[in-house]
Amino acid sequence: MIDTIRFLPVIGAILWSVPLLWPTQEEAEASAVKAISSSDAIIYIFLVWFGLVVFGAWCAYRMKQSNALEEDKGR
Amino acid sequence: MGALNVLVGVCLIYVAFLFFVAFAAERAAIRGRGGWLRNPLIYTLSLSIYCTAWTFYGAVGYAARSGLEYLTIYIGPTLVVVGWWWVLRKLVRIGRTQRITSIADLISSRYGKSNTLAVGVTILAVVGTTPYIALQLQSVTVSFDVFSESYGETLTRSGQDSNALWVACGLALFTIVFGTRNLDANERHHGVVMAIAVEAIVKLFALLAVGVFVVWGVADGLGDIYARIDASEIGQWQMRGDRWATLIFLSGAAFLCLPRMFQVMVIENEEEDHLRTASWAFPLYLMVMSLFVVPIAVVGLGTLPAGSDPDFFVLTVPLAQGNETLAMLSFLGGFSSATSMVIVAALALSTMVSNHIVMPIWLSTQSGGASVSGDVRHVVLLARRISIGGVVFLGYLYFRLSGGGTSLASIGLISFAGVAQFLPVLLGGIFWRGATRTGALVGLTVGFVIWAYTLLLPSFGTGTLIGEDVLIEGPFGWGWLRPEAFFGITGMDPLVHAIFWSILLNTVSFFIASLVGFPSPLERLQGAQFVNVYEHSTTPQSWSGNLAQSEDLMVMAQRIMGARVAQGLFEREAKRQGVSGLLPEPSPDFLQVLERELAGSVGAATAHAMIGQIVGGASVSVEDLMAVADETAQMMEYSSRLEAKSEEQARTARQLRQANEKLTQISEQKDSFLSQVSHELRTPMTSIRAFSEILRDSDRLSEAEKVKYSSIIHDEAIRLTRLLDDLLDLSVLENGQVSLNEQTGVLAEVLDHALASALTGNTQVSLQIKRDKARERVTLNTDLDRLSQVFINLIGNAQKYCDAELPALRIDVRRDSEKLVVDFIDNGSGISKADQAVIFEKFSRTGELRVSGAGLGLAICREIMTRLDGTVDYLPGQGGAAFRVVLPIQMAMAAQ
Repeated sequence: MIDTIRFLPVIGAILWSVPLLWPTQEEAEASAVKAISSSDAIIYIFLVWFGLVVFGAWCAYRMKQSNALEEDKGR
Repeated sequence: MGALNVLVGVCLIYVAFLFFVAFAAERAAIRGRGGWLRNPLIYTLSLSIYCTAWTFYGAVGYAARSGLEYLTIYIGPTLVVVGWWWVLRKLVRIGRTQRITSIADLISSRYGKSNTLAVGVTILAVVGTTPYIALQLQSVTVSFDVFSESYGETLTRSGQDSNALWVACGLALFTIVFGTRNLDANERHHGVVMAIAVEAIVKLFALLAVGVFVVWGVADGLGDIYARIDASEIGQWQMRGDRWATLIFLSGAAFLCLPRMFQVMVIENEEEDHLRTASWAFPLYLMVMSLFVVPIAVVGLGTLPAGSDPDFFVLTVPLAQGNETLAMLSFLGGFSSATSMVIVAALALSTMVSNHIVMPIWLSTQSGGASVSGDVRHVVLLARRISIGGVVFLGYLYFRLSGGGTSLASIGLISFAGVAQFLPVLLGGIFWRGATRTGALVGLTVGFVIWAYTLLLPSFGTGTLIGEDVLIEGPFGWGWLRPEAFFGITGMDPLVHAIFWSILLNTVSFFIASLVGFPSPLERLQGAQFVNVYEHSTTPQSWSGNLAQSEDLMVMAQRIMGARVAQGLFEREAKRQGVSGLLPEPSPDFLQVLERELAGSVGAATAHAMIGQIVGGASVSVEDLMAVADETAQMMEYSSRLEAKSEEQARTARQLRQANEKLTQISEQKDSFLSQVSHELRTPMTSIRAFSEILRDSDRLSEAEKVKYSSIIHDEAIRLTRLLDDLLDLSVLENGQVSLNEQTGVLAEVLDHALASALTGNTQVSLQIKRDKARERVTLNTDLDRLSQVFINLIGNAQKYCDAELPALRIDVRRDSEKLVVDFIDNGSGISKADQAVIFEKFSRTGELRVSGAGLGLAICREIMTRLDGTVDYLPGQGGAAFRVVLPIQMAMAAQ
């Protein structure tokens, strides 16, 4: 569980570095590739964001559960 | 003007509401009903001061100019918070165990409590934050302007200035009222936190409202918005990869290093567990905040006339659509974001300035050092209040001088880059034990010089602070040092260039200087503490305090923490050590605890220096270093077990020694008791016998002589009776045969009565009495005659023994939750430490026997108080002799 929490920011960083691969407007014009439209970029970035939030909340919830379990065992 | 008045009115009501919220939160916390204040959501919301007016207004402008680049500013913190397990958790834990008061305190504390480092960090933080505060003031005044323009009125420049001044004054006032209530900067400011949590909701709601209005009111829903986005000038991905990555890094770094973020994140943190909730709730907040930014920007670009300032689209779009209520709400949102930032930033910076700059200077100008008596808390509080005013005023000054120009808009990122220079030192400090003070100093200096040279100076415009030739050809014609192209590497974005080189060289020089240098023992200890904060929960001992005088420490602690708190701490520690009385032994443990408590008020470096003044320098023992060096779990456990055992033995030994001393004393006292009693009985007897013989044997006595001799006999007989009464009283009390005569009365009357009986009949010394009658209005239900007897005794003692030229006695009354405390403090020379141990014993009289008395008074007092379920103790460190009478509260009920 702890490991999942530890790796969450790494996953986030990797997903958010995907835009580094996108061609910018000038590059796209130069090489005649279709540029990424802003609305698509927004949807991608916010999906990653939303995913991180949901996953983070799930981890936090699980962690609380497992903490409570351990405390119960300790008693 | 009418609508403008409404705006001003709404603003004032809102401010009054904030004051009310903060006040209510403080009250709730004081009354112990503040459970809801410790909600993790409040913590999360308070983190949102990250979103300043720069977010509220600026993000839209940013998006309108550079597309999706604005998102990087929120992605960085999101990653940091999602990765709370790595850094934030550790920071919070360190902050709590070491009682850190600010980021400067953290860095100085880690690197051997160096004040130089603290001063450096403080100055840099002030330099980095001032423009940012100016930016907030500007946003409030300009948004006000936008409003007034829409009503066809233009504010003059002086009108703007006075607006900014009003806002600045209001903010400083709020911060002073709610930020400097307690001296202990490590304590939570519930009022401030609650107010910024409310403001966080307001700004989120306002931005969402504008967003919803734009998407479903102006445009026709999501599909239309997407079409509009793609059709607009920011319709295509135009983000350069290097800027994208650098800005994410930068905002993440700034999130950790900004003084105000550190304040809410670490210092105002109530429980480590709150981070767990914040780890997803804060990213959610950021996400929602940035959700509607692009739609607002695009609609603003599309509907408003060309050339309108995109920074204020959040206001101007609703205004242009004629929706004034929404515009007003949005104005309040912007106002909230600006004010909450200024409040917390001023609070954080003022703590740093007062603890690391004002206090050390003040201490060094005080010739007597740390052990002079007198309250120093007002100095610290005053310093903090003045610093708050100073910081806000600096911001205002910057606003005035910069002319509120557009250059401010770019200042956000420059400011970020400045504080981000703390990052290597901060992270190095908590993850790398080898980091040293020299390394930190060198790294910070290098980072800041490069930052100033490549980013700050050029930002003022070419030709102002940095010449054009320098920019193009480098200083002295050295091309490789051109501010925007180090080592001839051109083509980089100036911001990316500056951040890349400053952080890189900062880190490298920090690393190299740390490797070359050698840490001092204290640095090593602190380093181990910080890096292994999860393993060591307590600080190893570093004071060799056998020389220290507890009383001096008490005097100093009282000045800083206040008499009540300090006495409480000393009493607790004395109890823990198993020593009776109020003064603990100056064991290293105790000194450590005391230092940490003091650090909560004045910062680690100052606290360390103050204790050092009294104890005479800290020494790090070989054992301490061994404890640090030996990493293995068994060693640690073994040594800690040993430590616990030796601790216990030390405690037992201490108790035994005390018991032994007491026994010896008691045996001596018994002997002296017998000889005293016979002596005391014999003296009056002798004169009675002599005079009665004269009366019997001589017949030629005049009437006057007869009267004289018989009255001597009478007086002596009375003295004898009194002595026997005292002895009888004592033995009855000691055997517990006394029956209490419970009555109800008011403390003030008991004191009046005691003063009247103690002071009559003695005219040669006039004792001045200082009382606070209002506090004495406490109804008592106890044996008032006995209590009065105790008071008479204590007052009588003060009268007899106080050797001041103008003797004065102060009677302090205080109510605690469970007890009533009455202190009798005179201004004489007090009682020596050796005598303090025996004054409550029978027949003990201090000093030379210049006054009459059998020495039974205090012994009787103590017995009486024991019967009344209370105590009477000597209170050390008050300047003169001081006695404390404590009564349980069920006997003392406050008068209605």
